[in-house]
Order: sequence, then C-alpha cells, then structure tokens
Amino acid sequence: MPENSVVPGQPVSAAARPVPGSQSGEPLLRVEGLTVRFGGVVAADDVSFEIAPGTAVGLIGPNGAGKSTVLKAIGGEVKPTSGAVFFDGVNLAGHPPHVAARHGLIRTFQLSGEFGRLTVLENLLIAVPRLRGQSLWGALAGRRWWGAAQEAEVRRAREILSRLDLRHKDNEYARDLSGGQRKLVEIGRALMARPKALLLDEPMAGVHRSLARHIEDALKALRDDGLTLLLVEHELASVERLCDRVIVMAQGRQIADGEMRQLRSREEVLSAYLGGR
Amino acid sequence: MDYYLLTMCVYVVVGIVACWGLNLQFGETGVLNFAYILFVAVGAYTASLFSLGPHTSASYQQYFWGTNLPWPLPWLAAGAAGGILGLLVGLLVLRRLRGDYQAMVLLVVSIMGTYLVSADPGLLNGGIGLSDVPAPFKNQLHTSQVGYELFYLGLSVVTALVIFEALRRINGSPLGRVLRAVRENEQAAEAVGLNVPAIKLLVMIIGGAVAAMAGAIEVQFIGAWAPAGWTYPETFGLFAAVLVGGRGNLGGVALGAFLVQGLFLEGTVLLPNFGSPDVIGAVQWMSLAALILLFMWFRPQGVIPERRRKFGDNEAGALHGLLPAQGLARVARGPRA
Repeated sequence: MPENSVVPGQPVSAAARPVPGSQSGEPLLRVEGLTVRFGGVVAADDVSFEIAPGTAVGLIGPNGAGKSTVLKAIGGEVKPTSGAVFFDGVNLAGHPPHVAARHGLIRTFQLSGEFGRLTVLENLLIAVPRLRGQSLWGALAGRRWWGAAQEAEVRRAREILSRLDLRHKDNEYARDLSGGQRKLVEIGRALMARPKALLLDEPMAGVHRSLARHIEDALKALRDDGLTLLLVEHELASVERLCDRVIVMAQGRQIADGEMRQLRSREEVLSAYLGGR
Repeated sequence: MDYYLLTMCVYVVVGIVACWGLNLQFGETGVLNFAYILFVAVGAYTASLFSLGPHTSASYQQYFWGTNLPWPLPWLAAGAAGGILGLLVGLLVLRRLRGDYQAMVLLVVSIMGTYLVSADPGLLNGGIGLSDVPAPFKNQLHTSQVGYELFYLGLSVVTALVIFEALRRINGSPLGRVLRAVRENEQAAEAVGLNVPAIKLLVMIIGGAVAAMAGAIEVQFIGAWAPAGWTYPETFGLFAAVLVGGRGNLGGVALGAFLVQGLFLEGTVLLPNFGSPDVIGAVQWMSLAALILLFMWFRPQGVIPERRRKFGDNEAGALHGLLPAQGLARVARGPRA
C-alpha cells in the first residue's frame, strides 16, 4: 500500500452501515500487487488496495492511467500478469468474468453493455443466477417448470425498474433507449444478479447532466443500502459526492489513496492531472 | 399427388429442419458455423452406415463399418453423431478463438472434411459416395412409389414437428433468452455470470444434432450421399434461408427455407438452358449471393422478424415513492436475501 494511504475502513463512514452477510473489519475486496503487462507496456504496475464492505471507492486518474485495466483485471476480463484479487476470501485472479460474477462481483461497461435486441425487462432477467429454465432440461420441461420462478423475478425486475424510473420502458428494446437510460439498465441488470459489489466503469460518461445526476442518486442509494462500489469516473464532483475514498492512478501506478478533500492539495495528484504542475 | 411435388416437399422439410438447427446457432446465439453442412453430412453418412449393413468383400462400394438397424435407430444415431461432432468441433474452436476467427476455422474444418472423405475411398467410398441406402419400411409397405413418398413425407413431417417443439421450448424459455444475450453482447453476458464458451458449446451440440437429423432424413429418401453434395457453399444456401426468413424466428426460418431451398434454388433449375451447361449452376449461386446482399441491405431482420418478448402488465412492481432510487439494494437482493 502506498505511503500516506488511508487505512481501509478508517475514514469511511459507510463502514457502520449494515451489510448483510459481511464480517465487520474484513475487506470484501483485496487487490495485492496487481500487475498487467501488454507486451512491453505496463498498464497496471503493482497496484494494491482493500475495500471494506459497504463502501464506495473511486478509481481516478488521467486518461491512460490504467484505471479501466485494473477494473478489468479485477472483473476477470483481463488476465493479470501477476498479483492476486481476493474477493470475499476467494482469489479470482485469472478467472473468467462469469466466475467473478457468480461470486457476486458484477461489472458494468464504459461503452454500451446492454443486450440491444432484448427488451429492458429481458436485460434484467438475464442476470438472475440459476433461474429455472436456463438449463437445457429445464427449458425442454416447458413453462410449467420455470414459469412461476420467472414470474417472481419479473416482479423483482419491475420493482428495480420502477426505482430507476424505467418501469415505462420495460418492454422496449434496450437499443432504443438513450445512452443514460442504457447505463441505468446496466445498473438494474447488475442488481438482478444479487451482487455483493459492483465494478462501474465510467457510469456517467457521455450521459446528459440530468440523467447523470439520476445515475449518481441511484448509486448513492445503493451505497447507503450497504452495497460495495468501485467506480472509475472522470467527473470528480460526482466521485466526491459518491465515494468514501478515492485511489489515484497515473501511468499505471497507484499514486495516492484517501479521502477526496485530503487528496486535492497533494502535489503528485495535481501533477498527474494537470501535467507537471 | 405428383411425384416431383412430393420429392420437393421432402426436400423442403429437410431444408427447414437444417435451417432450424442453424438458426439455433447463428440466428439465436450468433455462432457463425461455416461448417454447418459438415454436420448435415455426418448425419447422412451415419444413417447410411446404420442401415446399409456390414461391408463385405462382394460389395461394390467400400465403407469402414456398417450395420443394419431398423428405423428410427439410424436417425437417432445420426443425431447423436452430429451432437458428438458438435462437441468435438466446439471444443476445438470455441474456447480459445474470437467469433470472427471461429468462423474462419469452421470454414476450414468444413473444407477439410470434404477433402478427407473424398481422398480415402475406404472410409465412405470416396468421391463417388455411398448409394443404395435402404429406405425405412419400404420392403414392408407394399405400395406404389408415390404412396411410399407420401408415407416418407409424413415420417419426415412428424420428425420435424418433434424437433420444432423442442426448439420452440428452448426459444421461448429463459435458456433462449440467454442464447440471445450471448448473440447481442458476449462480453456483457460473461460479466453477468454466463459461461459463454459453455453456452456456445451447447448450441454446437444441439444444432449439430438437428443438422445431422436433416441429413439422415435426406439420405434415406434419396438413397445416396457423396461429397459433391455437401461442399462448403451449401452452408451459405442455408445461411441465406435463415437470413431471408428472419433469424431468431422459427416460423420465419421455415418460410425462408421454403423460399430459398424450395422456390429459389429449384426455380433457377427450371430456367431455360443457355450458354454452357455450367451457366445455370453459376446463375443459381450468383442469385443466392445477390439475395443475401439484398436482404442484408434492405431487410436484415428477414421476412418475419424475431418477435419481441413482451411481458404482460403487472402492477406488482409499480409501487415507488418520491425518491425512486431509495431501497434499491434491498429490492435487488430480493426474497433470497
């Protein structure tokens, strides 16, 4: 962990939030010496941090800092060259994304991550783990086998959509929604998977300001409900409002870790953002 | 009924069944199986080997093994062989390669298959192919040729209906939704916990079995099967049918198979002769290519598009307060929390 880093759990008021199923004091996510190389390029260099359950952590830094690479390596999309990613006590490093998802670590995407020619409601139902009828034999058994289970999940999906103000769009194709609404669909879909933590890659990027605020409110509500969040975001004002703590990266390295207001005056952070100030 | 018309009807049923299997792979899951005709061929050869009887030195044709089992065992064996081939090819192709590279490797596999069978006469009688494949119940049914063809058409239609019902259940189930999610965005599907390579492997197996059933129906009807009938361009004829009919829609795909395999390809055969004897064949393939291009440009969804799965209105989820996002995680955890 870098010098002057904030000990996970210390500055985080959210640590006191009730988190179902978590053991207090134990980090939910622990990244140890994570390094990702693409040929000769070191995209992430010995990155280490911990995230306590129920906290929201921002991963910030200028373009090319390696933030998205770290997020992808945690989520399993990129195989780390070295290091470990312990999530809820299990080392997920090198496992494919569906393994991380099945452990409750769900990722959303910077660019469009929706299933375009599926309706909004179907987008949410996809994420339900082990839904009856998803296996071949379950499907062949017919609606009598899986219909009731699906109906319960449809009700739950509609509740989530209502709270995301997307209830009226439930039967529309996801590709027909605006960019911001698609981001909300992704968040709703992630919630259907009953996650323990969300990895959010620029959830407010390219979204109209009013909808970005709506996304931020939704994420705040999730944080307040005790869900753990790790998000990459360029909109620093949103990060400050949303995150208990931020990790700053530059050129693949982790250069600072702490509360946003503490980091504002740090020379290395300003230098990384403003280019050698 | 007319003999030619009955023959065409059986061909159309074979085409529809084959296109349904391809629809599962390509239309619903997005797997570009450019080796699809290989699976049809494996079914045809397997059904032949399970009905021709053991090979003897007096036989005029050579094949590595054979037995004589009653219907429907040759068709079931064909389906099993297609599924096993789907498993093997899927394990070879799907796990390590990206979608476009998968398509290229599958095309290569198809070409290799044709050359392999053609090159070794001891395997499946080489380029000449197998002939005199017995037709089921033909010796027991003392009927006219047209009467038997009518019977065979009934047998084919019943088999097709069984396959249709299985595929309809998959299509309308949560599994069908999973397949369409993989088609739409593999990366996002992985991110929500779907094991994409395993799902694609499943459709390679099921689609392969369905393709092989189509081959089995065809070979016991025409009584012969040779490599010239299953070269790789045949796959594109099936793709054209799926694209024209409407991928992802079983009814649309059946219509596409009827239009492309029945009317379009057969229609060009009825053109008056002109130029060299090869011209008609060339016109057939060029017309098919033009048809694919036209649909890709002007109606990519096909004649009958995939239907949108709407859920009936249910007010159970419509309750929300002034702060809509509040309590989101509690809802997300749902009844199992």
